[in-house]
Amino acid sequence: MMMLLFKVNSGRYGLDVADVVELVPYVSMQSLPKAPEYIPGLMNYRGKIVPVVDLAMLINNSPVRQLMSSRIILIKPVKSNRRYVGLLAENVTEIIRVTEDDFTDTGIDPESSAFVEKVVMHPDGLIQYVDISKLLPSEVSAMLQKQVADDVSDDGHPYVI
Amino acid sequence: MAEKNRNIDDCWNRIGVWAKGSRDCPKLQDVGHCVNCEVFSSAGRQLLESEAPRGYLEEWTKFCAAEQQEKNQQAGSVILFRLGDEWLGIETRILDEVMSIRSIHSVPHRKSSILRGLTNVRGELQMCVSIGQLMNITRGEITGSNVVKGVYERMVVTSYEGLRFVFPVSEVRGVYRFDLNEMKEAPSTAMNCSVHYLKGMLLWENRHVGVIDHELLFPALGRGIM
Repeated sequence: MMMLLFKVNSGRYGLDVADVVELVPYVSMQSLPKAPEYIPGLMNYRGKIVPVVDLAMLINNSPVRQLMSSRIILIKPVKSNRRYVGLLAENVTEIIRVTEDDFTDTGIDPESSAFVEKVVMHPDGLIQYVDISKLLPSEVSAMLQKQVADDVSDDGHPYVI
Repeated sequence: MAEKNRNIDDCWNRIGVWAKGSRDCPKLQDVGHCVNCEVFSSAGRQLLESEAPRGYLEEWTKFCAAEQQEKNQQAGSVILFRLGDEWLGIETRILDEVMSIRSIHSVPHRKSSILRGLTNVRGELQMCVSIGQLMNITRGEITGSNVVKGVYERMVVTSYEGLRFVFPVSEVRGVYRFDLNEMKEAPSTAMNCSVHYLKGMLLWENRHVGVIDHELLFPALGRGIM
């Protein structure tokens, strides 16, 4: 399995590259009024509107800095739906190959440790594996699901991004 | 950006491998080249961790908002070779390797003109066939005028659906990628029987290249060696 790494407050995290659609640099976003703090706004990705989630805000309560290595990781949270979500993170510069044997259980009940279920021992330090399906807060998932429902109901055809 | 850059000591330009004068960095002895040096890679990381310069954000915002250009979806890829005077291509995915000319050992009691014999490919005997014979292509003038005979000649090893054939060609030019829309129909009026085995024609460097249909070629070769 290939893992895309990013950093939040010097902690290293990784996601499965199979979930990643594209990496785009930090772009300016249109902020959403009254949106949760971890949603910095909406970005224009090739003419489509994509909501962006700030991973540093979500994990560490501090916004992602505008660095050369800050990237927006585009993912498809709902497999059957072609709607994208952007994940904003710092230091998205490395991909490593890991095998199932490299994974270790965190030893913490998955319910309480939020979206990190497994960790990988790596020569450069510990990497926490982030499960995309559990990463997005339930409000975001609910919002996306609702969008899908709305898009379908508008004209009978599912909205295609 | 400029201010940030000033914090980085570009020792590789001063005393390292890119220095104009003497390269007297003590670390160079151990690491061999600056790219292996910890100082160099940490400077690189520092650049990534620096703040984005002015205009960077706007540039990428514009870039991401732009419509995606249509991709060349049907990228075809052939390996180009010359057989006598004819330039031909065969799909790259059925190519195993190109090797230098080896001796061909004839098989007794086989009168087929298509089967040339057996040849050694990495310790295995493979059937060597003449595509020119099948497609009615003769050695031609270009090959004849080569001063040093056999300089460009190569053996092409291909396999498709369990059949493996080696065939000698006059010259191999390498892999050529193209848009499948560029491929033209082979002229159906041509008398030359080689056209039967062609999928289409390509224009490459002002030359017409016949793209071989391996789905026709392989069964024909299979029949030819019987």
